[in-house]
Amino acid sequence: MNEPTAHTELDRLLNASVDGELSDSDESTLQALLRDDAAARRRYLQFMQLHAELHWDHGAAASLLVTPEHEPSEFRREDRNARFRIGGWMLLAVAMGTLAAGWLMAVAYFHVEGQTSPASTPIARLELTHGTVSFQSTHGESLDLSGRGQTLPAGSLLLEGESAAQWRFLDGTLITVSGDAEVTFSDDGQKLLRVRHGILTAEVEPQPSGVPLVVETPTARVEVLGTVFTLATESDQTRINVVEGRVRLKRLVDGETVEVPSEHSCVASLDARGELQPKVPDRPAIGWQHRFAEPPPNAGRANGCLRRGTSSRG
Amino acid sequence: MSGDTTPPTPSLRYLEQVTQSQRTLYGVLWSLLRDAHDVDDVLQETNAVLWQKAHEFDESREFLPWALKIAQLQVLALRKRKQRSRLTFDDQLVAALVDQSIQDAEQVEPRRRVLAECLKKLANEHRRLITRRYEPGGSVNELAAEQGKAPKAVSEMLRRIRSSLLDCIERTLAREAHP
Repeated sequence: MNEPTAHTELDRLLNASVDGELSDSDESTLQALLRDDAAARRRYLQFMQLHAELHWDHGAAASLLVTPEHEPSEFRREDRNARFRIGGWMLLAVAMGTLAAGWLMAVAYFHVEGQTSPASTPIARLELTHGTVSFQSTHGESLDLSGRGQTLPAGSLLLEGESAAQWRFLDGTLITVSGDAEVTFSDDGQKLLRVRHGILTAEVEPQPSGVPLVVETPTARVEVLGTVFTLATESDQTRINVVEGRVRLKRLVDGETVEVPSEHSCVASLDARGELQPKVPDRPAIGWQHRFAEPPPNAGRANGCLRRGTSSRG
Repeated sequence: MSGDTTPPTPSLRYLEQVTQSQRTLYGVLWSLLRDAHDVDDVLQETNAVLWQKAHEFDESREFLPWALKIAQLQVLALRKRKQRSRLTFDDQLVAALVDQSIQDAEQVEPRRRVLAECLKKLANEHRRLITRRYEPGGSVNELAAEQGKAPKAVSEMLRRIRSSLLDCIERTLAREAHP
């Protein structure tokens, strides 16, 4: 392993810093270097980004693979580390919960059969919960959610009121659900999320060819190979906003399928007469943020993708 | 509605930008604070302010510099509370690091993407060590005790692994830029 020599002393200081081995004199040297040298600042930021990424992502995800014997209690000491996310997501949850208010539950949907992950096999790690969140494995076992780091098997999360839950699959794919929501998830080689109602945001790591992450709602099926998107589901329609990447959206009522590219949104409803076409959200769709006294806009009306008609389901 | 002090609800776009920026904010806060608990606390406070100030954000502007400046103010506030301990940076250094972060913001995502590839290239033993170090509760002393090695030896191994990861990121990005 050949190391570049230009950064040797700086790297020694950086490593000592993150591993808690920096002496007072090292600390002074490091600060002087950072103050005087723009190249050192850049190297420092790159190093710290690496350190933070390993903390944020790879360590937590990979540890599921190599230390399956860990008990959830081992992670509890890190609960405090989850507070920033709880705080952050609590805020998002309030917003998303507001947006979700008034949305109705779907009926005659949301079967959990077909999920083949063994109930005891961890497939994800909990990042946060806020509010009233309950979890039940696909085999019907209820799990007390103890905090960040807790491993989760396939199962269902039920959120009440302005609650939020966030979990990460083994590959780092990050899922956040908020508001009144009900979501089942599994991963038996292919990740499957069934959203009965609620708002789901996903940061999906690249998925293996031919096995996209699938999100099913009462009105749509979404296939994702790697992207960032937000999806809002109610009884008669699903709205998706794709931030990065591309997803395939299938409207279940007539089977029509459309690709939704980056920075586009689209709505699949029970009304097959409506146009299923991704659109760049109009600026007025952002403008509604200034009309805060009013209730959140209907997702379909906001992006203009769907001319909402009479629902075919009562 | 009179007397209602609830902040107005931000737009979905704003929420998405807050969501997307979390990892970048987390990384920059690590560079400014170097303490997991402080990073957690300040990110939480930053998110709270981002929420409160959502209505002040001009959608025609870039979001990340706005968010980083808010994070910077929270770092300075924490520094005051901590009475400028030896491990905190002064205001000028914090400002210089935030400015550099804004300049380099576009590199964060490509580096993150390439890091995943570079981790796959590590030897199993090295990947396992990194995993143990970064999983909740992992520390050099704990690893040293587990492996029956001196903490210095573990630190040196971690230093080499991180160095090789940084090197791999640079080489991969350079190769992508000049195929």
